[in-house]
Amino acid sequence: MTQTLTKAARFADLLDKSRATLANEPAWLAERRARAAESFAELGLPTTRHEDWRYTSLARLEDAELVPAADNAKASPATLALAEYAGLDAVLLVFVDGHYRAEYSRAAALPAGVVLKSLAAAIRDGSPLVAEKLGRLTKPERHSFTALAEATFRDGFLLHVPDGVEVATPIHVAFLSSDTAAGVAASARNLIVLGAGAQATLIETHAGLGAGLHLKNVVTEIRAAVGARLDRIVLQRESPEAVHVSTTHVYQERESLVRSHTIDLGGALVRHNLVGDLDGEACEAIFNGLYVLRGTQSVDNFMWVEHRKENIPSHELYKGVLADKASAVFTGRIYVHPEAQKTDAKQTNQNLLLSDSARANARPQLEIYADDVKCTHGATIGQLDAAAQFYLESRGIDPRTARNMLVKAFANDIVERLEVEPVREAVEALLDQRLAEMS
Amino acid sequence: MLEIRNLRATIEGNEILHGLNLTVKAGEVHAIMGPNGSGKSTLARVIAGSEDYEVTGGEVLFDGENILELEADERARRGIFMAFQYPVEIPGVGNTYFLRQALNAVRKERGLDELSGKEFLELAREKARLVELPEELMKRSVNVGFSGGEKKRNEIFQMAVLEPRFSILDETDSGLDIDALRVVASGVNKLRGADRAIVVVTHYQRLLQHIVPDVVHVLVDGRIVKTGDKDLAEHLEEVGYAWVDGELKAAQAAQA
Ligand SMILES: Nc1ncnc2c1ncn2[C@@H]1O[C@H](COP(=O)(O)OP(=O)(O)OP(=O)(O)O)[C@@H](O)[C@H]1O
Ligand SMILES: [Mg+2]
Repeated sequence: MTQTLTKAARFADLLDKSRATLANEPAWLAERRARAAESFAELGLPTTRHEDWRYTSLARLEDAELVPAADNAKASPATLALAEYAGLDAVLLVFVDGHYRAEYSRAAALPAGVVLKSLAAAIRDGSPLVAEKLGRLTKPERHSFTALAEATFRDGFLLHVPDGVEVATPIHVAFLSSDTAAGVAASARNLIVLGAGAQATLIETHAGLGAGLHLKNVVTEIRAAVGARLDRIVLQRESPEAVHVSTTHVYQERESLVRSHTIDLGGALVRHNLVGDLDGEACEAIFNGLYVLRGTQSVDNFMWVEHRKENIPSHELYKGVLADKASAVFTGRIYVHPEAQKTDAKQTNQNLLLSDSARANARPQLEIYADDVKCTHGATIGQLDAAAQFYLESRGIDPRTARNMLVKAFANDIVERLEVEPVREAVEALLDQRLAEMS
Repeated sequence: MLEIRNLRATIEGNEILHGLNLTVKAGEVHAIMGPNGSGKSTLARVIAGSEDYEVTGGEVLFDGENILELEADERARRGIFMAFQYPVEIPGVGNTYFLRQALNAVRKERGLDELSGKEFLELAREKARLVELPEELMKRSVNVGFSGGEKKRNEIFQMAVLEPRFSILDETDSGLDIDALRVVASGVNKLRGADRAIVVVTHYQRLLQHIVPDVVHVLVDGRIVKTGDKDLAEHLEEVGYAWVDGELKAAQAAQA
């Protein structure tokens, strides 16, 4: 007799199949995986009844029968090309379906003491840093995708920049999906530890070309010690049916600066959870994003920024362009603790709808327990400025080109902030391409 | 060159132009004067192809072809230009980039090669000198942070670059200081030509001392009610529109 698994059971089935043990996996990790698996079994996948997931349905994942990724999937030249930025001189770490692949990666000299390697390798080598820091910021008991990642991750990357070290060479980590990724669930865990005064520039590319639904689930922990500085750009251009979930925890100490820019162009369904734990006086967090979507693509940005100490600026600017039936959600929660006087928190979400069927939801959620603070939030959902469009057209510019000029002007607010020039140029070219595809 | 016959246009259901007639021949400069709210900008914007208005009757013939069927951008590429009464600020779109796109679109229509960035800059510099537009303004976003007068100069600068055959300048003189007025007027005069026509919409006789019109029209309540030579403008300045109104009422009374 054949049995049909219930949806939840089917996902549990995935969990069973993909529960990982790495070679030489230490006991602490095995225990944690077991606990995470239990949490996941309890939590299940979030549904739209969950307040934090109200506008994003994961039904398609429940209906899918996902399997773990093979560790040797081939990346086609076209897929590997997604990890290249013309003119970018960077160290390159390539992961295919969540597995580190040395043969596709490219080393470059990094300053003494800097560690950049596969997390699985670091665990295998008994890295004390990983044992001490991995999972310190995450909450697998509360969040399904964190639990799933903890229980099933095979790899990810570790970046450690010791105190006082500045890494001038950009670090590029590409998470590619193979052309045969259909039906695959791949989780990755990343750990980024910047010591006091350390500096680094990190580019993360998430991309793929293959057809078919697959899940990429990435959990990243970023720790910036006193005075550290991280400039991070995430470019997400997954294949059209991909489901991409990222959960990023940023922990900042005094006077550190983390700038993070996320550009979303790909995927069918994308969810970014970004948690900023601002725990040092006068640290600064800049979390910006841009999404340019068409068809039925959807992107859900869920931000949670906690101000724990005095004198911390945090700025979030998320801009979106939505064509066809694309949709976007922005939830921005700012929590200001009683000690966090002189907080300067600014949150802005601006959406440009290019069609009547596109949808955007913005939900600012401020919780403020200090009295001397400046917290502002603004959300706009609008159409192209008809007066501007007419002005351009009245000079001979055709309506489509005029529209594209206005959309690019809107998006450029974010694009111009990408400080790695080859990446910025690539994003500009991708935007042009995306606009050319939009009717 | 431009012939408007019995043009009727409405906005949000209100008829603003009530059967307007106007003929402008190649080589001529016309002035249109008229009280606030009489429909001067409406006329200019309808000619330029604004979709805010619905044309409910009449024709606008440009070289004998009814352009009402054409989109704004097509009209512009055929050589029609309107200087906006209120030029629009467009943050994030560079003035130079925008104008080069526009010029190349126009050139393409005329069967000319597109200009490279460098070629365009040379041309733009030369034209900017014509209206004494500071070069620094070319680097900014379209009209963003421009003073009122700078915006008006920018309109004429665009006109100088695009070299339209028919231009309608909607109160380009308002907001200009005396020197700027002279500069803009001399810029416009340099753009006069045997195969071009210009209509200037203005409230002030002063502009017409610099840009001397061949024909002056008075537009009241959506119609051209009086047409004359440059002396008409002077006379208007002295007596005001009440005089035209009086004449109009008299004419209507005579008709009835
Ligand atoms: N959206 C609208 N709905 C209704 N009436 C409008 C609308 N826009 C403009 N109008 C009216 O159309 C009439 C003509 O306006 P127009 O701008 O053409 O006048 P104008 O002659 O250019 O005046 P001015 O000298 O003040 O520039 C005015 O009475 C104005 O109020
Ligand atoms: Mg007007």
